[in-house]
Amino acid sequence: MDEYDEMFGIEDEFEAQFADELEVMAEMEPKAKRQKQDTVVKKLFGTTQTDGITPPSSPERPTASSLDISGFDPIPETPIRLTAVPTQGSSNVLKRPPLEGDYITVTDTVGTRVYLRQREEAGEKVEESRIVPDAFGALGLLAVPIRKLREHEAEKQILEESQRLTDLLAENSEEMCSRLWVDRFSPRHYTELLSDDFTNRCLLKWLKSWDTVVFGRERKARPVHSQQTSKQISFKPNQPNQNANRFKSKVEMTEELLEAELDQYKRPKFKVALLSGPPGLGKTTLAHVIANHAGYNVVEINADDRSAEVFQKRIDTATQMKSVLGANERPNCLVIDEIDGAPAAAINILLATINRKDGQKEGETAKKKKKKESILLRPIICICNDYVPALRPLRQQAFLLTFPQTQPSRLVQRLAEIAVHQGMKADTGTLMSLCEKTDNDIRSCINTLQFLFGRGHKQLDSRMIQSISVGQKDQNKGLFHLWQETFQLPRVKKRIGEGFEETPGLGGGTQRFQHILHLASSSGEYDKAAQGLYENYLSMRVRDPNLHNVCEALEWLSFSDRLNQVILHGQNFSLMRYLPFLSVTFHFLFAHSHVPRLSYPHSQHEKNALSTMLSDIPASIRTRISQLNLTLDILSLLLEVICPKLRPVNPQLFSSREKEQLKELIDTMLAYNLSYRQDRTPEGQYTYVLERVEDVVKFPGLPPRRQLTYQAKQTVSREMEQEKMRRAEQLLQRRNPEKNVVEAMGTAVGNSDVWFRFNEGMSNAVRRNVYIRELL
Amino acid sequence: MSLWVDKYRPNSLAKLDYHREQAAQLKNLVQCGDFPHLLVYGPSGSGKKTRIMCLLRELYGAGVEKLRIEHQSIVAPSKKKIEINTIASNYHLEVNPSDAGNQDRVVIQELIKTVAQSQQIQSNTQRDFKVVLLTEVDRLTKDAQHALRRTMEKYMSTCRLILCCNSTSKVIGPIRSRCLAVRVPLPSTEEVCSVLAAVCKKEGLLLPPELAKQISEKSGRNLRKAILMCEACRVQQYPFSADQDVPETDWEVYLRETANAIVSQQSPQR
Amino acid sequence: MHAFLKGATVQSTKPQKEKATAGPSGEKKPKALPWVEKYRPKCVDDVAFQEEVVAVLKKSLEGADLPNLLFYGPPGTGKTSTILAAARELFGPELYRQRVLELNASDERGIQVVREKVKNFAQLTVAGSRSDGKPCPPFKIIILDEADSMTAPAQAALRRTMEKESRTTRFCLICNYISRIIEPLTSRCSKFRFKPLANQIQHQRLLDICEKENLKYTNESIEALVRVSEGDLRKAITYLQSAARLNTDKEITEKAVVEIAGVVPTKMIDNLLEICFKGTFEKLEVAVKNIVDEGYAATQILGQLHEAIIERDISDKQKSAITEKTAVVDKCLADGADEYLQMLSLCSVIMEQAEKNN
Repeated sequence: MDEYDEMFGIEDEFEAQFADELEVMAEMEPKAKRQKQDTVVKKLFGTTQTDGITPPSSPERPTASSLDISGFDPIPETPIRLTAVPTQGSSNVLKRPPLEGDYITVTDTVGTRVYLRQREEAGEKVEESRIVPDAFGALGLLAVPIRKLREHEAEKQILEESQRLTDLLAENSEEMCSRLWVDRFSPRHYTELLSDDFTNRCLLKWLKSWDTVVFGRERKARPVHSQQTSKQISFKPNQPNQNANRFKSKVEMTEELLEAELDQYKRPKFKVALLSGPPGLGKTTLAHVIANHAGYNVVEINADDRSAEVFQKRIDTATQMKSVLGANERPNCLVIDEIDGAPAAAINILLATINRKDGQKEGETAKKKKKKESILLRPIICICNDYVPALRPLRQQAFLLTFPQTQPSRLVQRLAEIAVHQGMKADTGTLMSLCEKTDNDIRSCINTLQFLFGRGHKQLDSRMIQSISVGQKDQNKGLFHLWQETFQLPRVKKRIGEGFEETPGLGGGTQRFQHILHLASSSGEYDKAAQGLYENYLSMRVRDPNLHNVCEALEWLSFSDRLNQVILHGQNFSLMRYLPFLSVTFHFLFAHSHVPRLSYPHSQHEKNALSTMLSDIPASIRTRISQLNLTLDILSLLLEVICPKLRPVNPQLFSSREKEQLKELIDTMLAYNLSYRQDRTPEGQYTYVLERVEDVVKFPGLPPRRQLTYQAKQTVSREMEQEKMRRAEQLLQRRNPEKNVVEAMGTAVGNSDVWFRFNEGMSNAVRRNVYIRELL
Repeated sequence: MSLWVDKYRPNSLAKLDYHREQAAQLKNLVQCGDFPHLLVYGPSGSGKKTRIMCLLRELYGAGVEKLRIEHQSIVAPSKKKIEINTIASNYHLEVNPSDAGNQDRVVIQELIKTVAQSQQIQSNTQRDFKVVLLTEVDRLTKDAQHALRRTMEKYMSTCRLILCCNSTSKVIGPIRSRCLAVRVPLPSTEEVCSVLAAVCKKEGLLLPPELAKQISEKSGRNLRKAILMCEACRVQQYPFSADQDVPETDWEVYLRETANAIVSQQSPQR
Repeated sequence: MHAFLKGATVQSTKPQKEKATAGPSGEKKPKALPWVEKYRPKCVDDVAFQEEVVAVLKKSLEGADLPNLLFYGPPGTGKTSTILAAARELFGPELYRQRVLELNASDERGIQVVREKVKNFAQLTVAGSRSDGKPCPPFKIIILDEADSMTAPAQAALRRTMEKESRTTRFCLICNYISRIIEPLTSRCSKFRFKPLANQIQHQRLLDICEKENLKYTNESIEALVRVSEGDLRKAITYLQSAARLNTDKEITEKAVVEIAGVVPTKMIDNLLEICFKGTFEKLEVAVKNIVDEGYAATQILGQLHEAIIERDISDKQKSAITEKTAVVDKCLADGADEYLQMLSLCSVIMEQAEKNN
């Protein structure tokens, strides 16, 4: 399909997008459309276009009429957009796509399509022009001739207007020269987005589903309505389109997901949207644009404020407050960027915020008003590159959107526009190869273009693209990628990424060497990389009956170890450059065409587990054990010791001997800082696992250690909690010994012997010190 | 504190169960007044730490048993902050410098200097020196060991070092020649048996001598392991039977099985 | 930490009386001094067995100029003692502090310190007379103890300073291994090698000390001390003091000395060798396990085994095979290998060679 699109002007692609957009639009504003119908006809091309993409449902201007251009576009570029819609007369309206140059597709309700040729200067704005037909699509009254007439009329005005605005634009562009192209050409509008339509629409829809709670608008009737409209619209223009069907099922699926019942606070089922995907696809841009589009004020939390408290504060600020000052009194939409770098604590806070309601579910409707302040009433969009383990709990509660790769065709188109706008000459093929080289990373493409432009290259050709190394990102693809590449033979397919150095006769060796070296040296984390290689190389499927390879690998490992020692001891960092060769050797020793199954090295994890265990052991015991003898001598026997036979009955019924035993067990576990943690297996069963340390002394192939029964563990766990509380209280009491608690105004509650005191005028008016020992 | 290992640990030199002659010598040393730097070495589980703590108690009284964990941060000359945990009483300070990895030299230099340079103001009740206990000295880098040698001499008047390690092979000569070396051998099989019997007696349990023998052999004369094994046996089965299974540490089992797999005959099934 | 440092002051409520008792304890201090310090040579003449150095230093004491010095040699041969004694004689107690800068491995000696501290000290000029009117040489001495543990860049930074400040400053580098000092530095210094002390001199010194300390000793124990210390006088004195402390009021026996030195009893070594030559591998395994479990250091066993093998009546070829293995094992141990396995490996090589004999 790609091939086809490239060659034939992406017609089908357009068609598909077209239909999808239409659906969303129709869904978003079914009423507004009706109202518009008669006026739209008279409007200029440009006007209707902006009209279609602006959310008329936004709260600040619920009455926004479709005619009102000036007031309702918050983005300052409105005048520029006008110039972008030139029509050069009827000769530019074609029945079939023009052979060269840019054009706009327009379809009327009957399904007839015309193509409007575009003037070169308008290149930048082609993107948005694509949307034009959306607004028209729903209109039943239009016929082509009338529109042509209108266009003729409009043309004069536009030409005048554009003349005036071209000057303006010229001024603008001069001052913009110093800006990065990435910023300059970043999409400001929903329709300018380059990312996958489906993703865009889903996110928009999700955001829209917040409308009820945020803006207080009802959307009861919508499901029925939208379905009608969507069917109506999507069928007619899409009939010739085969591709739409492919999306159809997905769309419906997500629709179901999104149309799922709102909860009792009229919030959508998922409170958080989680966007994930490799860098440079425009995730952040998408979030911003869509939030703006839906009428929100974007509050972004970034990588720098990561501590849990700050995080909590910012979430609360963003979700519960509203800017009073300034013009934009829109509700906030929180965008948490790069959430994969956040610590688990921060994610837990986020989860707590999301679930705050759940605790108060029982609260009656009367109560709701009071509680309303504390529950989450604003949408949150999280953005991440990878799913790190810490995100796992979030994933279950989030509306997941995975970003697919940007379509190279669309990217190329955008690049072409930019190039044209800047007066660079570049053909599609060149841009295509640029895209491929950067793995379809928008940012990197545009940066490369700007770099080349800055160097004075006005004419681009494929060779230049191939020969520059600028566009190639010094990317950090993560250690897993490195290990994967190390242990896997490359597929036969030629890689363009490093292709520029390769000469056909040289064979794969050099290329592979360079590739792995490049990867390893750009990863930077040599220690971890080596650790991963060390823990994985033995499980590779390589024919090596005499273990020669293994021996050699060990030699190399020892070499890199020594190297490391010298580097760290003598601060001799010039030796650092020899470290990545370890990966290269491993590649040639162990690479295999199978996809390797890799595991993350866990020795560091184990070490951390041990040191956390050690760190909380009381000093009197701590002094006797070191990490080494803890692992070697104590731990596995200790695990044995803490599994005594306990009768599966209520601990109250234990004999005194058994009670003694239980007490000892709990003492031991507390002394060695062990505790059970309740966990849920993937099958949904609950188990108790010993926190942290169990893995350290576990070896594959050995019979599993005798475990306590679930019940026993539960008992132990509960007893331990109580013991901990008792101890904490004892400690507290020892610290402030016997403050005579005077209960002057005590009153008995009912016939119980719990008393409380009334502090008049205090927020904590009823207060009573109750000791743990009284409750247990 | 309820593992038997911790519960029945002797806390004074007089109560030590074996190497009594050495214990007596150490007592002499304390009474004699001038206390040299010590280098205590011996295999793991032979009771070095127990001996050292007993010695400290002999020196300073019960006060040394009031321990607390302190987190210290030391700023290296390169402005790098090093975090290290120490265990301290009012009279002594225990550090495991190898926790600091490659930066252990800085820990040695700075920590000992600060301790040593602070004079004991009042010295009638205590000794006029403090003790710094360095564990796992054999894991120190050579750099750190070199840094230690002159420090030991310089601050002799205010500070004594007790070095604790498994083997002196990795301790450089200059340090060895500056310390009084105390070798702590592993207890013999009989000694292990008698200790086990004593522990079981205190617990009110009956330990058949055969089982004690078996445990002490399996533990490789490592007393810590032996007592743990004994307790694990107790958890598994009580009353003891003479030929019951003695639980072993997993890594030993695993290594043994791997070794067996290597030497066992190759057959097509495998 | 702070609590620890202040720990001693917790009950600091009784002020005056303490001072009275603190006084005697202060006086006691010299007694608590290790004998190594106590019997350190006070003047150059006291330095034992290193005639060349003593001669040079004596000349400079009489007024001649002093070259830059580089002392090297095994530990315990008096390198540090010599230069300290010389400096004390040159400058006298008052000037000593101003004129001598001593830096050792326990001080930070990176390139930064060399650049700043050493340079600044070196650039000071000093007068040619003492406050009491006696003449004294118009230069300062910088003693860089344990110079072999200085990094190469730091040593390199020293070269120029050394030359430029030669008018007012003399350097004295002390190290165990001269190969660790960079060439440009060694060429700027006059080198003196400190020999391991001859046995009879060591013997003499030890007897002196014993007499001064009123110790009861046997002749064998002194001989044992001399033997285990291998020419390292400091070690010998430390051992002597340790033995004296551990056995107060008792005679210092050979056994005590051997125990303190951590030397494996000859009986054990002989036993091990016997098993190597006669026994089975199973027996050997047990024997090696035992000897390691006793806590003896593998390097110590290695050295003693080596000596025993040299003495033993087997062919040179076998000896060389064994000694080669010994070297390998020693290297492995230095790298941090497991002692038991290494010892076992060495012993099985010995066993293998022994079988060839029969």
